[in-house]
Amino acid sequence: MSERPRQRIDFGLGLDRETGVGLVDPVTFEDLRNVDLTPGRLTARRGLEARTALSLGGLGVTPMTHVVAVHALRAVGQSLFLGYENASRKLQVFSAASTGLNPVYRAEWGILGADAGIPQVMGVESKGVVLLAHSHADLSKRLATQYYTPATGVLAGLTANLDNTTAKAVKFRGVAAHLDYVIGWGFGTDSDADRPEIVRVNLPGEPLTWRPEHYWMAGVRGEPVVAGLALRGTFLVAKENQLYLIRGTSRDTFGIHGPIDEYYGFAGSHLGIVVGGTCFFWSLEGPRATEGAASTDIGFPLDLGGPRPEDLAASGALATGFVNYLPNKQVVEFIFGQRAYVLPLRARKQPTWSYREFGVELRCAGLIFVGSGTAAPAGYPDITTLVKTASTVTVPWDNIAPVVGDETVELWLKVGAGAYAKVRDLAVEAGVTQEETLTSADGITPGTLCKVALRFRRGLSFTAGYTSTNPDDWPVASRASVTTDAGATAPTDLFISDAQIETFGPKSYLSFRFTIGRGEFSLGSLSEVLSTTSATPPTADALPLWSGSSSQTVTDFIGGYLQQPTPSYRWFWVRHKLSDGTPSAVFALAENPVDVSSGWAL
Amino acid sequence: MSFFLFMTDPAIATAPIALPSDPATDAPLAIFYGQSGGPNIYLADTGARDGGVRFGLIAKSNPLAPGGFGSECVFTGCYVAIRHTMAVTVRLTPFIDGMELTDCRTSIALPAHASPQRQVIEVGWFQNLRDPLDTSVVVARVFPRGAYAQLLIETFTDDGAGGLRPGLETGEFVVETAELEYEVVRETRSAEPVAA
Repeated sequence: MSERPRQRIDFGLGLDRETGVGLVDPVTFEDLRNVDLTPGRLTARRGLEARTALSLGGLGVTPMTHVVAVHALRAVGQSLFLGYENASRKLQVFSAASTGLNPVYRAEWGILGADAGIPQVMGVESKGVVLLAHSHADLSKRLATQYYTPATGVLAGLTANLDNTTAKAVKFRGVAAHLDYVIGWGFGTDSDADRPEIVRVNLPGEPLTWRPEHYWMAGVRGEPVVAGLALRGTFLVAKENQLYLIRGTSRDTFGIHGPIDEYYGFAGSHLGIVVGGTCFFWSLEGPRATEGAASTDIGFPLDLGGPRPEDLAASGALATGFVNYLPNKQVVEFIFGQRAYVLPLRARKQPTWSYREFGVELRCAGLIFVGSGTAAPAGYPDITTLVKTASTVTVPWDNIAPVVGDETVELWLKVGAGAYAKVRDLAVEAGVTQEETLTSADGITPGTLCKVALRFRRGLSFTAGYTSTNPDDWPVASRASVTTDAGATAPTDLFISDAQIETFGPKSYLSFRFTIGRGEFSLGSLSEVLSTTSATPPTADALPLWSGSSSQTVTDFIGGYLQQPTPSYRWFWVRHKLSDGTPSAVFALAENPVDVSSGWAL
Repeated sequence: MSFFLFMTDPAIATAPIALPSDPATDAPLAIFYGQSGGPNIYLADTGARDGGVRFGLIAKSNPLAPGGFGSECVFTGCYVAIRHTMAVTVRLTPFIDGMELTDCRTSIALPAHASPQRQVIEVGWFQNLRDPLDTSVVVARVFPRGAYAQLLIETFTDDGAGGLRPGLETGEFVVETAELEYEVVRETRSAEPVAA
């Protein structure tokens, strides 16, 4: 019996959903997901590991709702993240180590309008600063362009004198690097701001210096420029349905040409990328490519207009998609939320596509260092013996390895029957014993049981065993408690023992001498007389009218109060204060309130 | 916050960059993704899940019609060459004339290996012919017949409750080639002999 024939299916050839069944090559695929295609084989892709997370203000309490930008700051070996929080509509800037771990809150770019949507951000690094543009089509909803200086961690607004008056805020829709220049688009001048077709260029090597006359107009006035990219020594300017090219290398030779493509442009500001001298972009009709001339269709195997696999992950909005190049895989990914279209670039005669379904929705990407480390810290703080006074608790702890140095130490406090609350975010200091002192400002009161707890945080991740918001659930080493020393005993009596009136010209002033009944005497402690203008006792930090050793039971004269027809009342109080500053409760004058404006008869 | 504090920020100053221990495999640079609808920043190309969410591999070939679309073939089986270290279940499902043949569906549980192992999975396809009065009774098993065939390859992992769900595990899983075995049994509808 002869052998049956076989048909070999060479993996790596990708999708072909367009060709009719009579002509389709059977070694292509109708459906292909979550694979890396290389010639002759198909490899299951790997996953995404949460490296870190952003929280509002970096406080580790409110997670940001979206991460809208990831940038490498190669000049300084750092990385930059931008996060947006829906409820507050705040767009905030974070910097991090070059490995992307533990972002540190730097500044708030601004609060977006209620109808501005989730922001898209374009950034470019140039000569020690990073220019950041809010890529919103509507100028009225766009935040002003900013620049971040990694060396100082300061975010500042970009200003330029573009209408020959004074320097004013600039609102570029996007920015990109080209040669030694930064190119910005979508902004005219302060007096004629809404000029979406204008493309501006700065002075070479001076990213913060923009001259009014250094600009081009791309095509029809009012039709917005969506994006721009350096391409083969030129600069590609993309509208939604056209492409232009800026050629030249200096102001003398710069000129805009085109449209080089009259029908296709970028469907979104983040949907174009240049790899190996070819710009791959997603147009309103699907993916295309250009090397500086009319673009070609590279998306035909996807048959985007036809039915797609019925259970394919839902796509995000077209305009908010982004494109990304994975250098290690040599693939271009067009990502729309959870769905991606993946194009390998290895030696293909025709475009070879596959789908990728991500388990989470993605918004942006950036190429930064991998380095070592994990999202969650592995070390932990070990509390040693607490040190107390009547109004302070000092918390010493050892940082138990492994400690990278980018962890944040959270210090939690529970006073008496109250609830635990986080009172400090502290930078970890690897290899040393640290300590932090809590005071009455943190709620420490005399003679009270105080519980403290510590844990490490990196981004929004915690050491295993420390994720609960109730520190009582954490390992024992992280917690300790102490009862603060008893406070000063309050005085037992206060009465006016003497009064006098002094006259200066036509005016008379009344002053009092008080006698204090002390309950208990402590060396170095004070007696303090205070007054208020209502029956509400003074607060612990109120300043005294008189202060003297608590061994002294009679005060000096306190006053004087102007004698006048209109009544004026005072409430007098006395308290003790220990040598460490802890005050006792106040004791009220029996005669309260005292009319200090009309004399006093003993 | 003061300038001084920024300059001494330990998060910036002390976090190390670990150089690759193996330049051939450890990339010092990698893509990081920003999450939409969440605060996370993800490192690409790591592990077998997306932020803890499983995903599986799906590959469905385009139609193979060895004798043309007017013919009839028996499709007797497939050979799939794989290389893996991953412990994963591979499911192979034939589609004949667009119909999914669940009788012929085959799942193969692959064990984990420390180093990549090549193997060829050979699967014969048989369709059950059932008693029309009692469909639980299989009266014969035959090769599936039709004009064209497609092969669906999927991966599954343990769902923790004794079942399977689409997924992958840590490690490598590569499909290097596959072959569909067939025999054309009827090139086309034969002409009726002309009566003398």
